[in-house]
Amino acid sequence: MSRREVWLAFVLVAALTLGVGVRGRLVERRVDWDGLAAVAHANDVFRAEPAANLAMIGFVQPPLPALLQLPVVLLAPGLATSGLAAALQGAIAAGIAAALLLGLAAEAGLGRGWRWPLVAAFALHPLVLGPASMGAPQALLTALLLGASWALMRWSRTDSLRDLIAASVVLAAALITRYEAVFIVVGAMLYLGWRTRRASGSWSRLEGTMITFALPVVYVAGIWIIANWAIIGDPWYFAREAFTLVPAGLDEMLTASLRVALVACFPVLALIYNQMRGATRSPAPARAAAWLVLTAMLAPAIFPGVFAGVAEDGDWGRLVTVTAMALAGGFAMIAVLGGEAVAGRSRGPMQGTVVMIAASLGLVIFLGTQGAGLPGPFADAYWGRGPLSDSAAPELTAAEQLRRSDLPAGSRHIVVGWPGFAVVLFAGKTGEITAIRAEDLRREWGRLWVGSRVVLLAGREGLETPQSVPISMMTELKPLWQAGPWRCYEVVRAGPATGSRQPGTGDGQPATGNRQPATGDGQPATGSRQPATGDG
Amino acid sequence: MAESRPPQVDALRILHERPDECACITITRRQQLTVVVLIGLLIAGIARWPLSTLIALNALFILFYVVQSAYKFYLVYLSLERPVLHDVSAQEMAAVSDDDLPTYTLLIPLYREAAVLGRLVEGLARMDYPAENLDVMLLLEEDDEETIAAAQAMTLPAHIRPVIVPDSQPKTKPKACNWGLFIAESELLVIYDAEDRPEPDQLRKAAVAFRTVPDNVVCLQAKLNYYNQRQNLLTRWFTAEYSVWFDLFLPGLTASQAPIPLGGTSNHFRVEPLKELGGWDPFNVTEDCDLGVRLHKHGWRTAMLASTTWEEANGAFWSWFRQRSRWVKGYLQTWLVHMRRPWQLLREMGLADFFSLQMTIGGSLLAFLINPVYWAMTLVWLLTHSAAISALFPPAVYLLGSFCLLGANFVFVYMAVAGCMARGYYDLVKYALLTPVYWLMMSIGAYKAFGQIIVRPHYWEKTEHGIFDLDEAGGEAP
Repeated sequence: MSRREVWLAFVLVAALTLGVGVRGRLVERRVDWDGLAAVAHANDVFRAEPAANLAMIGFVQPPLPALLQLPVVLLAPGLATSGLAAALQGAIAAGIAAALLLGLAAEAGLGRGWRWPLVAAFALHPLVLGPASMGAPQALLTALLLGASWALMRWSRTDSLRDLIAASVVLAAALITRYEAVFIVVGAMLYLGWRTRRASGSWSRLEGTMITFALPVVYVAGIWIIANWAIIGDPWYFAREAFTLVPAGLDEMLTASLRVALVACFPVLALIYNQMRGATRSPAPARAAAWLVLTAMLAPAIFPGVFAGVAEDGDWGRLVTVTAMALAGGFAMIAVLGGEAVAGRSRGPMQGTVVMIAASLGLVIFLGTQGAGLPGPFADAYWGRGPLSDSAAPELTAAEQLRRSDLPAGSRHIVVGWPGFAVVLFAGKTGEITAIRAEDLRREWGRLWVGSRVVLLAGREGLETPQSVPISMMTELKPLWQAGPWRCYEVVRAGPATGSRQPGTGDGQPATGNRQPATGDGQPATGSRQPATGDG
Repeated sequence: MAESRPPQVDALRILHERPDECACITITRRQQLTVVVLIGLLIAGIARWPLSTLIALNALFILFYVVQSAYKFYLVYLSLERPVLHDVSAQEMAAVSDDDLPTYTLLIPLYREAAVLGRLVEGLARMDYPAENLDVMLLLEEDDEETIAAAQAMTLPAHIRPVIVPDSQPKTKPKACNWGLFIAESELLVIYDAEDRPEPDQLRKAAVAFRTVPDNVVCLQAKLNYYNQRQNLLTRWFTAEYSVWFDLFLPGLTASQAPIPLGGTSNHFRVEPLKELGGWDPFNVTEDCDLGVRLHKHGWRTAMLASTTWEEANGAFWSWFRQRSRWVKGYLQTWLVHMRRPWQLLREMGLADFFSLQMTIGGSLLAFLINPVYWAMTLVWLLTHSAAISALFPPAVYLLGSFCLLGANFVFVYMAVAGCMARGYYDLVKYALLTPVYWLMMSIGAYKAFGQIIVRPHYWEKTEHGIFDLDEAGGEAP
């Protein structure tokens, strides 16, 4: 396979994904909140006031998507404020995943007539195209897990140091793309240990292999823990904030995990069975990928509380790693086993596998009829309404109105509540505005600087009062104006009352009073999203 | 005993024929002037704009770290991605009959190494090469009466002969090698140290490999590694370093067709081109590194041979320290010699090779020098949060510096791990995690070298061999 073919796959898939993403953002006005959070964090590193620095990369959100956005937001701020930077990252990740799959299929022996349809099926899968076009970190995770699957499969075959290092590095990257990938990392270590011990019987080789594999992962995790400790004061802050342990049943999570994996890639269970049978007797070419998928699927059942508390928007939000691993490992196994089949080297009888694939397909169709299939209509992903994305239209409208009338250029504002998230990104005010999640506001009070404005969305913060609100020994919030659902306060030094201004008069800016509520209720956007800033 | 003392050998031919490429004068007037001007500008800058000058200097160093790290990672990636080693299978070797093998000269410089002579001759007997095609020269210094006496006392096979090198300055290994080179009449030539244990088929492998490599490849560098790697912590680190250098870094340089700093031994040459070049530079204390660059500059190429020579790692700290400072001094000599006319060198080598030379030789030297400064600054900042240090790191410099501190340093440690793995030294992997301590030791050695190049530029600090007795240890070269 030529390099040109690899590049062609990358360019075609990235362009398609970006096109869908641009349509989704500009026409459908849809966003993926996790993707936008990464953009906002990256922006803050360069433009947050009063302290733009690397610590603004955020700590609740895994850092890699934001770190990768740093050059984009630095060189093309317009891509950040328009939200397209997220779509760009998703498109590049999808392109890389497609190129990896093409290379893997070619290496497995699939000719062009087979590998290109396989890549097309992957790239056009609603759970690949949808999140990638919306800029969800899931796209990056899928690409990384595909790379890890390929590297581990090759390592199993060749014992090559290069593949061992590649697997380790991409899994370390996966860990800081989605924290739950830690279970896949542990699964990979178990596989490496088992495979090395079985192949060589040497303890020193096992030791060397494990250190070589674990070192990048441990180092990356260690740096992140130390950063949390040094900056936030709590080494486990990221885990505490990202995971809220929720009681959940093993059977409930296992069922959810199986369903998600099957809907993402229906032959996956059959292929795992095919590769795992006879594991103690004979090798299998895609056993590493099968093991990784199995690990990802079992983790929610073994640690149900962890996954149940990851997100609030149902199984698809909670089980992103399962989805990504099922897609990556599933398609990797299809490529390898397809290559074996084409070459007439299939391992053992395939009847059981074929029956399981047929049964899986039937089950997925049945789930679809019961409303438990894909998260949203199949075709939505192609029109920029990717599954798991949210509409930003009401927030955009409110943000536009706010920007036009009430946020004078050069002034600094803190917008509290999830709707403010869109304000930050779309109002063209990045660098002047910081968004804080409503529930984090009280914790952040001590850090509000005098002279800044705090814009609250009425109806949920419980702070909407026309009176001055003391927020620390030194400062208090002084009401300035009220406009539609927004109420603006100025942070002033605490002291003798100087006569509070009435809302709407504020600092001389007339409240227009004619704005419509942004979302009516100021509800936070759903999902596992985290605040753009304010988490550290 | 046959003993030859050729009267007409010009071991200093490079000095007479190519003085511009000889380290007889370590630093030229023009270079001295350049150094003085640069230091003057730096002092003036610090006096006039102290903070700006220091920030600029810091930014330059950080940028250097980024570029050099990226280049080294690239080379290691190349070596893993497409290893370029000339391997010769047993079948290929068997296909060449003994009669078709070229004549081979083995140069073995010895100085005060009477104790290892017996083992050396035994080791040579194990070489799988027809004796009638071999000419083994034991290069003995005239004033080394002990080793000469030991050689005279032995009954040497016909293909092994002592060659007495007249006592003259500089008294260095390359000068002795030149004596051997200019009297050699064979097609191929290789250098081994007294304690070396090359793989028995190495000569045969190299001879066959020379048939398949392009004509402009005049040198095949075998890999070097240590047989006493588990002697102590120092030899473990040293082994990790050599494994990275010979198993990852040099193959990467070969893959990118860049100049290769040769290892001290086990470089197999075509004799005629080497004679044309004037042989080794007797004034350079890392004549191997210099020769690798010089070969490349003159259009010749070096390739890596998939064969290993096992050496003795310095297991005694002070001996290691002296050896290290000599190596760094030699690298500095080499860099100064080839950078006498930078523009001319750039034209001769091309931009890519020139850049590679700066990174592998000049860059290594600079890194040795500035590493301790940055480690100290990091430590002081961690302890004191000094505003003076913070002021040197504006945001962009800080970001790049953070990358170097957290990313590049880790990858260099990881390269040591990978080197041990590539060599199959699985039990050494854990010791590779401690290599930052070894880096500190190397920097200290480098500072000694920088001082010594001013006061004793051509002084050869002899490496002590025979401290570890492999036979007594009951071990075999791996």
